[in-house]
Amino acid sequence: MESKKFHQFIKDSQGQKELSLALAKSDEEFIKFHAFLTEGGYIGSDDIYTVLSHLERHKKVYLVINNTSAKVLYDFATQYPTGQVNLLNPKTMENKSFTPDYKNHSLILLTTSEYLKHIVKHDLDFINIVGMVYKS
Amino acid sequence: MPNSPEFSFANIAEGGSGGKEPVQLQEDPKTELPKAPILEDEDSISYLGVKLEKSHVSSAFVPEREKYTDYINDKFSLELQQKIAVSMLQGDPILIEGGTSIGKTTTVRKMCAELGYEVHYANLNGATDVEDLMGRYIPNPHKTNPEDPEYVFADGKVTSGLRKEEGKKKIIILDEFNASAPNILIRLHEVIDALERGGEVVLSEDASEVVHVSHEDTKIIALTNPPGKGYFGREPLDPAQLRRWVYQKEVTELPDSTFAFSTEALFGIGSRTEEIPDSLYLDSPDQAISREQLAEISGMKEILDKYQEFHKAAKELIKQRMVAADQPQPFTFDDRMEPHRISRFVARFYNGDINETFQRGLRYYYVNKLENSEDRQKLEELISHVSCTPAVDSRRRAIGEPETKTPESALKTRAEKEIEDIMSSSEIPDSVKAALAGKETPLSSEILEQMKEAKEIFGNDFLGPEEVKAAFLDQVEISEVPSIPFSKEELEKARELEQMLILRVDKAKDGSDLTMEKIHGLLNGKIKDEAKVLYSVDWYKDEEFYKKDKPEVTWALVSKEAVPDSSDKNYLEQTETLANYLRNEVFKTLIMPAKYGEALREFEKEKASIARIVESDKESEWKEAARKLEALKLNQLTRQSPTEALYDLIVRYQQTGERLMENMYTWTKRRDSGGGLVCVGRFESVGVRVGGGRPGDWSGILGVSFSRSL
Repeated sequence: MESKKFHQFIKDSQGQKELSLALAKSDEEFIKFHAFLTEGGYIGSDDIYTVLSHLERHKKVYLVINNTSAKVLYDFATQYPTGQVNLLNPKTMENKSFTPDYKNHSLILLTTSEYLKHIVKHDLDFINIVGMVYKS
Repeated sequence: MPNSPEFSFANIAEGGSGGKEPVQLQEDPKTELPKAPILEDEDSISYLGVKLEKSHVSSAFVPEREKYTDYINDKFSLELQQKIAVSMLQGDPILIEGGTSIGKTTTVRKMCAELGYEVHYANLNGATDVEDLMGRYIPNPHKTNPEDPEYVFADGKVTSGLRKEEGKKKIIILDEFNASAPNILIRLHEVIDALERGGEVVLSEDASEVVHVSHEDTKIIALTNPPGKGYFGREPLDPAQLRRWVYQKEVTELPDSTFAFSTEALFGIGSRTEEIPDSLYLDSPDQAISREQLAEISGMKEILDKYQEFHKAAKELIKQRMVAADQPQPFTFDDRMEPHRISRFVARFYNGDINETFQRGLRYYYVNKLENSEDRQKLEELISHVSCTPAVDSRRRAIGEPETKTPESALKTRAEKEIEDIMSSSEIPDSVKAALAGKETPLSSEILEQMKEAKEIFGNDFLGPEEVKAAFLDQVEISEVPSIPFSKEELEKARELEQMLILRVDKAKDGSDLTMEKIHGLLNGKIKDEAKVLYSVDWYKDEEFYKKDKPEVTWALVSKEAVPDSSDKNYLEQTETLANYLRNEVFKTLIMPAKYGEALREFEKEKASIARIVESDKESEWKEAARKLEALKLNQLTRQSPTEALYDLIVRYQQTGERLMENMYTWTKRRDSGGGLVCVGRFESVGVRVGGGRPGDWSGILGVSFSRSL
């Protein structure tokens, strides 16, 4: 049942102008969501800089929010609906500009409810900047 | 109320209302013609009248335009774009505070996509590393041999936006500005100060490399969510730092009307661009006026005195928390920055009406810092008092200021009324009436001085009171000579364009109107060489333009011959020629008065619909075209009436013996009773001919004379 609902969420996420957010209530569910997304043809990463260079070929991507990725994913999610994304990789200092292809891209953020609560305390309020949210 | 003597700025903060009448914020949009809110040509785009030049240099950092095809230009968004455009034009760093959902970043990016400007975006939320913004040394990724340096400097997000590149314009967006770490704010303020000075940014991050920066090429836009109000980590900014920015307070949530409009537009109901009343447009001439020209604007000293009082009163309102009490972000009206900004605003946007331009500036820099409508209204009320009554100096009014009834002219009107009463009274002896009737108003020394200067410029093409009187064989009444409404530069330009300066009067000596019929009656066969004034008047002897129209009492600049390239054209095409003549010749190097700007915009808006019917054979259609063409402000401002055309030809002939428009008609701004447009000209020895035609007609002997009186 849950699989069906999640797949519907994946389907609905396609063609959206904002990133979607899948919130797992536990680590187990987090792993399950990973699996659903992979089944749905998504590739996953927590490294947005790598993802950016592959978005031409991979239109379906899920991005894992964790301690290393939270800040940059927040920047990315904030800019995504504005028609252009500028990101600077602090390691390489490479400044990239990316234009979303709303019709063909499907980008989903993935994290747990608990982690989301944690990062909100650090001013990264993802709920306010994403579009569709899935929570079981 | 605005100029009521009881009003005092000093009373405001003490609780005195200074006037309880509500201030009209906008004019009734129904009475105004809608303009295009966003007007684009190959090289520029105007946002509610504020024109920005495009950049044509392509770059990966310029947003793609097709991403914004679904952008809704509702009133809120258009006004936001206008505010951003003003800051870009002025080179002011702008800080926009507003809720997350109002589309701040999208709006800036959409404008950049249209303008071809690069976007360099940095979200300061949680950013602690100055080097991410300003740059740092990294291992050289291109090192291929031992001589290559181990490390190279790589620009940060801000540095890449600061570097000048040929033809590029760059916008640095600093998002979530008030969530920034203090060390970052300090560094960014150094950058802003350098931009303001048009100086250099020293990159301490790169062995003190000097980057030359300019606010012409780089604009900084900071975006913030309101501190508090549910936004985590948003502390108010220090007001002392805020003074560097043009702070614009936007709403936390979209106004209901905007929400409704944009939602309906998204579902295909109604337009995607909201109609905006003319009063919200802000016209930006191509060039700002100079400090010297600013000083010459009539009434400037008076308005500056009022402004100083206003500034103090506005500060006091803030200090006493009588406005902005519910805004968590503290701010003040800065004693140095605000006057500096206002002066640049007036210089840039001066539209000929100093009161209006000054007040628009105050709205931009003062009222826009306030969120709630009651606070804004309080400041609006103060602003309505920042005005001047232009002195009777229409040479300065010439650069566009509207004619304001002055106490002096009011007195004159009263005096005229008294004389009228005396003249109609049976108790006053005829000798007194005769004395009064014969009394001529002495010319003021100022007007005499103006005329002297104009005569020096125009020579024989100066047709003043003496020349007019002589031309009409002393049969005209010149009871009042208006001051010349043109600046010296305008007169010199007119001379260069082969125009003459003529005083038009409207009364014959017997007090009757100086109609075509009257001119013909007074002078036929009596002018130089006993020539005729009008050729056969048969077809129009009962027409209103012949029997009733009289000239307006004014000084006019009139082209001695038809405007180049104006013949062989229908009336609409001629109007286009006049529009180009205005833009490219008359006001090429001068400030165009606002009325001409309005007229040109109206023409641009109307011409396509007129073009569809102007050459129609259907009577109803060509007549409608003629009606519309006659009503166009551009034609009313730049063509003669038939009476004026005749008047000008005769006065000039009497003065010089030269027949102007000898082989050419000028198409006037009046229709005849059959719906055609009247033309006047071919001033041969048999007299001036008058004809009429459909607006779609054209001929090699049908051109247009240019005439303007403001």
